[in-house]
Amino acid sequence: MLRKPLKLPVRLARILALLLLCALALLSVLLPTLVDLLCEARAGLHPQLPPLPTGQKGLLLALAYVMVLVAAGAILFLIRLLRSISRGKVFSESTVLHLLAVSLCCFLEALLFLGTSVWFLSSLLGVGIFAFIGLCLLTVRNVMSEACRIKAENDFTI
Amino acid sequence: MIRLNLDVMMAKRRISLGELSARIGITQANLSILKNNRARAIRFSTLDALCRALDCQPADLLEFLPDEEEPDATDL
Repeated sequence: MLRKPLKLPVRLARILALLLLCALALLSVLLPTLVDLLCEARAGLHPQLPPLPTGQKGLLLALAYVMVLVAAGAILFLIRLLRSISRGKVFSESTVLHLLAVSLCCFLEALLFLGTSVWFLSSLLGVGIFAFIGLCLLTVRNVMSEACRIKAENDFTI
Repeated sequence: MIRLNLDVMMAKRRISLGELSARIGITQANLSILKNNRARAIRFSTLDALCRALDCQPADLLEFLPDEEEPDATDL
């Protein structure tokens, strides 16, 4: 079982992840309006640029929906990871797999942000942030994998 | 690979897993891992306790089996 001081942060992280999932659900409902607002803001900031054609706006909306889906996937994997940690399965194969899944979702999110940078240059900030988080998680995943190997070695030393 | 012939020695001494477990203070689950050669390593203290309980030498318990894919030392 997980020690008491470790339980609180895991519980808090689970609550925050659930709240984030709810926020994403709300965001997906408001997405068409938000995309319209973004396009208006772009037109306001750069009046020299031509307004986005309806087709491109549709593509942007589709990309935004995929981004929300990928983010939701990452959060779901994170919730599963936190659940297995709270059950005391810290150094297990499932932890390693969930960490890999979350990091891959982050890389995918970075790629999607890169796609939107065609219209919004500020999206490159998102690319940097998500690629960095993905790299960090991939490193943690590799450390966890090594820890699992050491634990197995220790468990089978009688 | 190194094989632990615990089952052979237990049969020779006519001792059960439960009895050996009680004598040396190692759980039956861990003894089963040793008996079925699933252990990755063995502590000197465990080997000492096994040798005491079974009245044998470490060489009676451990056996070296050369792997088939390993190159023969004489070929080098």
